[in-house]
Amino acid sequence: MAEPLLDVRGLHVRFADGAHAVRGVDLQMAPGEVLGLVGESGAGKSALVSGVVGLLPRGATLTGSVRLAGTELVGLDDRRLAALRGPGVAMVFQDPLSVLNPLRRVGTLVAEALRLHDRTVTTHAVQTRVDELFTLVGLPAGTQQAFAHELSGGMRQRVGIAIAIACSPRLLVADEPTTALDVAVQVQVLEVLDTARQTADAGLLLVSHDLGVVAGWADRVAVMYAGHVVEQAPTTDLFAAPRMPYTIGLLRAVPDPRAARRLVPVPGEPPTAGWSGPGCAFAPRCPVAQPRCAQERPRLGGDQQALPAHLAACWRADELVGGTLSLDDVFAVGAPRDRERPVPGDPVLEICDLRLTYRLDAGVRRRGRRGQIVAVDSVWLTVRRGEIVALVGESGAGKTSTVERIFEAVPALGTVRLLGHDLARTGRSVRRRLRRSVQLVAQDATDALDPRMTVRATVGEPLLLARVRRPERHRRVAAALRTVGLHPTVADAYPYQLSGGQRRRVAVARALVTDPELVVLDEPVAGLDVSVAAGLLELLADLRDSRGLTALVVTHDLAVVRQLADRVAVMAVGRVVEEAPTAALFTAPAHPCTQALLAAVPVPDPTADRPRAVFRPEPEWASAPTGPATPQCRLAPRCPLFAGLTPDRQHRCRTEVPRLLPSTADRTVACHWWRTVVPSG
Amino acid sequence: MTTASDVRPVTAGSVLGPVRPSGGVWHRVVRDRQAWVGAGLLAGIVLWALVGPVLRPWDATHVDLTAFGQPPSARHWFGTNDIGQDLYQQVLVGLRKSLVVALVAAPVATALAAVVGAVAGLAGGWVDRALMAGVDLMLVVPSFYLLVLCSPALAKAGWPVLALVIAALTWMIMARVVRAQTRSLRDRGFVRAARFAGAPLGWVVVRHIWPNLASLLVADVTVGVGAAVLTEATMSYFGIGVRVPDVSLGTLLAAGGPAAATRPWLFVCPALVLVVAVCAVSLLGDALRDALDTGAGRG
Ligand code: SF4
Ligand code: SF4
Repeated sequence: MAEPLLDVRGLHVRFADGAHAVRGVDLQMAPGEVLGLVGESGAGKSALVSGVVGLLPRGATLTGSVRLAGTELVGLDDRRLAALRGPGVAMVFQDPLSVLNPLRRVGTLVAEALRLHDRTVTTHAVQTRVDELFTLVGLPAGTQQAFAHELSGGMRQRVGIAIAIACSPRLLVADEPTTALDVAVQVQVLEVLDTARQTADAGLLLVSHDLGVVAGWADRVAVMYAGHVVEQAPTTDLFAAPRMPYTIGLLRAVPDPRAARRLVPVPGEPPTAGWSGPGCAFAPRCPVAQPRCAQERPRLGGDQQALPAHLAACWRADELVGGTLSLDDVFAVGAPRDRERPVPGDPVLEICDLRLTYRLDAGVRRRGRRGQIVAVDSVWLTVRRGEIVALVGESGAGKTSTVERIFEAVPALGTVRLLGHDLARTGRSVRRRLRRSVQLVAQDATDALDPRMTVRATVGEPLLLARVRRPERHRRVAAALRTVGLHPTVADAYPYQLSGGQRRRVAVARALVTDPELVVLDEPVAGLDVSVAAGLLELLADLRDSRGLTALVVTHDLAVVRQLADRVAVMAVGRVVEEAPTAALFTAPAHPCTQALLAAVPVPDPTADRPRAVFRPEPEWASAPTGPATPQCRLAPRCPLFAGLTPDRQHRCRTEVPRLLPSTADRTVACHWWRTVVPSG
Repeated sequence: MTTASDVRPVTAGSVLGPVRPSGGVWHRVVRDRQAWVGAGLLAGIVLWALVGPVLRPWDATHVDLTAFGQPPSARHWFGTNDIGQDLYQQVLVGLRKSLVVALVAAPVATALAAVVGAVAGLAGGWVDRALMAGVDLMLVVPSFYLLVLCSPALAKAGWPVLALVIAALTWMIMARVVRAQTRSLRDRGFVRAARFAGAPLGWVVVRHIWPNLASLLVADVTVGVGAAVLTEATMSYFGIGVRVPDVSLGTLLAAGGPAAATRPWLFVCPALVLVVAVCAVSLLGDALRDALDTGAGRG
């Protein structure tokens, strides 16, 4: 390697509260290289990048060495560091809204970034450069006049990228740049980031918890665990032949959108930030740990000659390389699930042509705009006993509104039938009974658990409401906790004593305790770490197989859908546009919207095709389509198929709402022209 | 070696490790020194109010013809008033009355605020509007003026009515606070979950709203006890609360006030007792609130 662009040696980061977040990290990056940094929450990724760019919070100490193109950054005073930011290192943040000044137009913000580092430039030169940057990140010139809050998440992130590359930095650091975005937008933003990097000829340090993103974009990957880099290798090598048990576990815990497979949940939990010990930090969770592992810390090592090197910090890495220890010895993948399950029974939930509109003139805004927001515009959905159905779509597609309709009396058109009863036509008492047969597992488990109640009281509440007596209640609570894989002592804990994964399981236990006919899971694994999510996904699949769990899973995550669902309904702008068995939908998506979504899903395999943005770039989905709409297919502005249609066919899209019609025995599609052209790869 | 498929499916996830419970609110209260100090002080005061009288030979109305307006002495620990009554015994009687009135008035006021605020905040709609209109009405009515008008009736009714009147005068602001807090809790997942599960309004109030406002309510009771003692004292001072010959700390202060410069014990003794009593309640309340806040804030 020539002189490295970034050379980190023996870096330690300690926070004021005593947490030792980064514990001696060595990391090199070549100029122009994309290095992916992966690891679960608490692994020290963010602390490491904050240390590198000099943005550590007050009271944190940084020791070791960080050299950027030969310049030592550790120990530089704030002023010198600030001078380096911009032309040296630039940062793209996870949430651009929090770093973009809300009172300035975004064009001005980009211009400011330019002026900050070169006060001599003329206004004219700045404007030219701002125009250039906006073109580069794919924003129309008009957006320069907008304020940050007026832009969609993807557009904001583009502005963030424009600011970061304004001064042509040598190194771009992107901390979870697309975590908050929908898949289609995520791909666009990552592409913009990559283009920007190439234009500026910068290196990119891409921090992500998403192995799919890293597989698609990084040249090399570094895996962090408990403050150490435990493995570092070219992306293809790392995914093909990991040499460290934690990496193996991580790779086997990720759901793959291409095929459902058994996931391996890594047992236990990572050490806390205050942890200290002489041995390998992964030893307590490592299935192949040896006595030596707990005593001596393995150093990051391997074949130093091969460039770029594949390094791993594990005493048994050589055995893994040599083949005396196979990946299955470390984390065995379970036998594939028996897909021949009994045919699903009667419908538990039937939603027919559900339409929901909210009046805008309600409440205080009485004299403001009058009109309607069409949140849901024709949803058809059936969930049968013993199957898991996924309702998938981007944010703003109307998924949540649909689910709320099942639980709340929101005025709506269409029918919702639970266990054969039309919800709108049943009396109060029947409705109450029906309601108890459906349980909701909310997305935010922290919010869904009463901080004042013990786990036992929370899980037991639905039973108490159903007047189940105390001994019986305790027995069933204990059984439910066991079912979701929680230790019995958890019953006496308060939510704040539990980890995110445990809370999620408590929420599931609460939903299961009444033996409901249907469980609705809203984004069941959103925000969970890969290994924790894997455990939960396996648990849900087990529950379906062993006790016939019937569930509706609402999510935007297609990998989760693939892993869990028997059937999928795809939603876009308030409508179900396609519905089919999972395998059929993933192998041969029919609706252009489904195709676009699938093409954009990151795959945790570097040899697979990189996800593509098939949807046309911004404008993104109007998050709240306003009506009353003229009859037309509201997908037209972004439909990849529409763009290639002949004008008279386009006319039909513009004047007639496509109905959800059966295309084959078990598939329905809502598109006039899906048979005509199949956009090729 | 076991493979994942050997594991019985239902526990395919890791059996997540045991959790060490940190104990409930009461454990934390018990471990809190401040709570002990407050509770001890309060218990001491109550005990003293009850058994204090037997320590001295006099009773409150006994007139000692040998001591008119005497300063504290071995014979009369708190001194005597102008007509020779023992101030120690009078303070004890007054303390009992004031404590009883305040200890009834403050919880009643908080309870009223908790019920009205929580119901209004949770129910919303016309229930909310009606209840809050009532609260606002009570806030704008000149209460003191009303009291003066009713004072003859009050005088006959005795201390329970006095306590209720004090409660009725002081609950409104808290009701508004509780309502505001309830409205933010209403959108929390666990409240929505309970309502989805078909829990009636009262259930949600009792099991979810109140426990989550516990620290607020406890703080309000303690502040309320102090305030009620003072309100009662003020009312008695103006002659619309406890009336002579009945005695409360308020009437004693009223009687001793004019003499504060010449015969300070008449004012200082009841005032000191008042301060100590209010402090004891505040200490205990603070400790309780801290104990309730631990954990919940992080939850
Ligand atoms: S060093 Fe030992 S404990 Fe650590 S990962 Fe390797 S085998 Fe497991
Ligand atoms: S109906 Fe037309 S615009 Fe709508 S999805 Fe089909 S081709 Fe695209």
